[in-house]
Amino acid sequence: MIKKTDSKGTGTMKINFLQILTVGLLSSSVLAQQVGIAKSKNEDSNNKQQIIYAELIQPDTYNPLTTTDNETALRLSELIFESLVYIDHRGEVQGRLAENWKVFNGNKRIVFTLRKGIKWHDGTAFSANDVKFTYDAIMNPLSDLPTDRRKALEVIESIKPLSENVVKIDFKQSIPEPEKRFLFKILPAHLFEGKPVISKLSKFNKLPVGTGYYKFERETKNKDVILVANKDHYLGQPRIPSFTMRYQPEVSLLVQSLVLNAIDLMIEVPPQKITEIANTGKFTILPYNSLTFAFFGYNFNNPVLRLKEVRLAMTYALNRQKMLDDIYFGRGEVISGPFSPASWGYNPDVDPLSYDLEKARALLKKAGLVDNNKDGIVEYNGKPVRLRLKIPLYSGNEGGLSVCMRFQNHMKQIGIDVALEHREIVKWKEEVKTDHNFDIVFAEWLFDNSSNIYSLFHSTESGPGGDNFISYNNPRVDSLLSVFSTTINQEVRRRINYELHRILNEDSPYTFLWTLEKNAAIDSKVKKFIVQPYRFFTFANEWFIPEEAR
Amino acid sequence: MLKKTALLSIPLVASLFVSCGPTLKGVVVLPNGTPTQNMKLAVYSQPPTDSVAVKPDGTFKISKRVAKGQTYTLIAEDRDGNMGFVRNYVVNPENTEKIIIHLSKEIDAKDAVLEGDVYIQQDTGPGEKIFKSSQ
Repeated sequence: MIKKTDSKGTGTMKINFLQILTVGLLSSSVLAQQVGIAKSKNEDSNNKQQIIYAELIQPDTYNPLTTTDNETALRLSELIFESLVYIDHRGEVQGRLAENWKVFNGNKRIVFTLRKGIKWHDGTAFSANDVKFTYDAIMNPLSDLPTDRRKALEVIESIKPLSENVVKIDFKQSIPEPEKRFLFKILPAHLFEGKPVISKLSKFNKLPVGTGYYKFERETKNKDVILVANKDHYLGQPRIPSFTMRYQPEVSLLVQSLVLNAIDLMIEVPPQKITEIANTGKFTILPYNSLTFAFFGYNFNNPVLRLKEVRLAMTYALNRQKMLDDIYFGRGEVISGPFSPASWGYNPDVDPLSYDLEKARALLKKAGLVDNNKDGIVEYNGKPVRLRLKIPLYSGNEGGLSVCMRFQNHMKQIGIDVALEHREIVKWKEEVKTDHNFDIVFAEWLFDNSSNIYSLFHSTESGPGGDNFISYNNPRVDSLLSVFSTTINQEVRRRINYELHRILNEDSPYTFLWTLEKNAAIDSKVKKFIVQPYRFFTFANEWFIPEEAR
Repeated sequence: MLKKTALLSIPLVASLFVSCGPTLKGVVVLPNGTPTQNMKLAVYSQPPTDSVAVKPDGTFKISKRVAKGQTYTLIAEDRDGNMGFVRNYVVNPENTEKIIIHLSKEIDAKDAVLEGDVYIQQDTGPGEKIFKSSQ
């Protein structure tokens, strides 16, 4: 469901997702002086052709293959690099570096014909050897990249350039729509001296060279990244001559920067700021279906949390709708399983577990968690149940902090003591994903279109750094996930996800919370503002600012 | 290992199959209530299912990715940006009501951000995901 704030900013109403918000005007000169950011706007206003956008976190690398769990790097790489194919507005696979392709042998072979005349940003010709190099580098065990990336290509038997612009790929088995395996970005072989190894220390990671719409120009002292249009791009020169990515870790300053036009684009507007931004009348606010979901994850290495009744009790004890309404102004939807409601994997027949404190208490009692000494905390095997909830600490995480504090209070009502443990974000991720040093974690998964939850819940994925950091182990779920990953039938995959959704709702390894509505805000002078929900900038070459608006 | 998995999956796969899925069927009408005729129109939905062309007699049918029980907003749009909506249509067997989408010129969609395109979520193989803190 998509909602927008009404024109008075006093409530919400349902709208069609194509509608944009345009209301009112806000005087901003005072604010400008306060934050000292109006100057850059004035400097740009005479000939406004560039787009400055801001990110809350810095990219971990500029190399699209070594980046790990970093949205900033993912988005930036979409402007600089390209893949053989991409998914267009209508969900169809289209060629990018590949001009066309043919599938043979019952989906066991694919032959790509690459576009001729493509050049890397340094002027070197792109060829089929770059495709092979990138594959070899990904599969090289010495390469320092997320295992997921390698896993996705394990089905490839061999890859062989047949000429400068033709490459043949054989699979170990039949692959449904094999062209979709080639959404990964291609790297220039000549900048790695022919050695197919990707290191996190490589010079390339700081000075990326791609074939995409924009060339990396430089990183400033303030960690801004300046990109300039690739005039030689085979689709023609992008219509926006320059993009600047500005690192701004303070979310309040970021909003003010936008309101004062010191930046032009905010990728994810905090729900509580939408009305303020809309009321300026200067921005297009675009809701988009980002496939995310938020959750509390329970560590199965803790014997208390291994009890299904306890996990279920914790879910029943949470008034999720009220939390969503109070903290995020209802801008989202409470969910019942591990997908966004906009995903093809979401099972609409499974309702979220209701808020029911009595049921929660009864479940705890059934599991043997009873407050024998009447101190307000239940005991299990004679010990009070005290759990640690890990939270990342950074500006802009006020919503997350409120959710965790509400969680703490709700748990207190059923006699479970929850201690909040704050960590700097890198440390937080390390303690959760690598060390598994937590009892409960509040986090979010952001998916592309694949709705593939294999790594989240398959028991083989629970090692250090794996996505199954809660160490979940359910043979039935493992079996379904294994079939999911091998079947070529999309309808079967959908049915499997529906069944997984039902099982995981009943087993509650996570308390599934909600999918929040995402909104981007951009200077309304920018037209044809089409975004891709995961990579965001896929269609940025089509964005433009009409001459009369510059 | 793979063979064993495949063998085990046969009954599972069979049980997961169902007969024909639900559809979204209806007609697009002009502001005066008469069905559109020979107009170039597209109908699509939110949450996204499929984008289909309206037939010359004004009817349409969406059968891809339609989920039972799901609530949809259906949008009809012509090339000039004239649009019509039906909100909160729930797909269930009891709901046999024909969907009627009224085109309206009250909504000026010429600057519509997607300019007639809708982003359709679709399976993309192994896929990617990001683990992140929730704000």
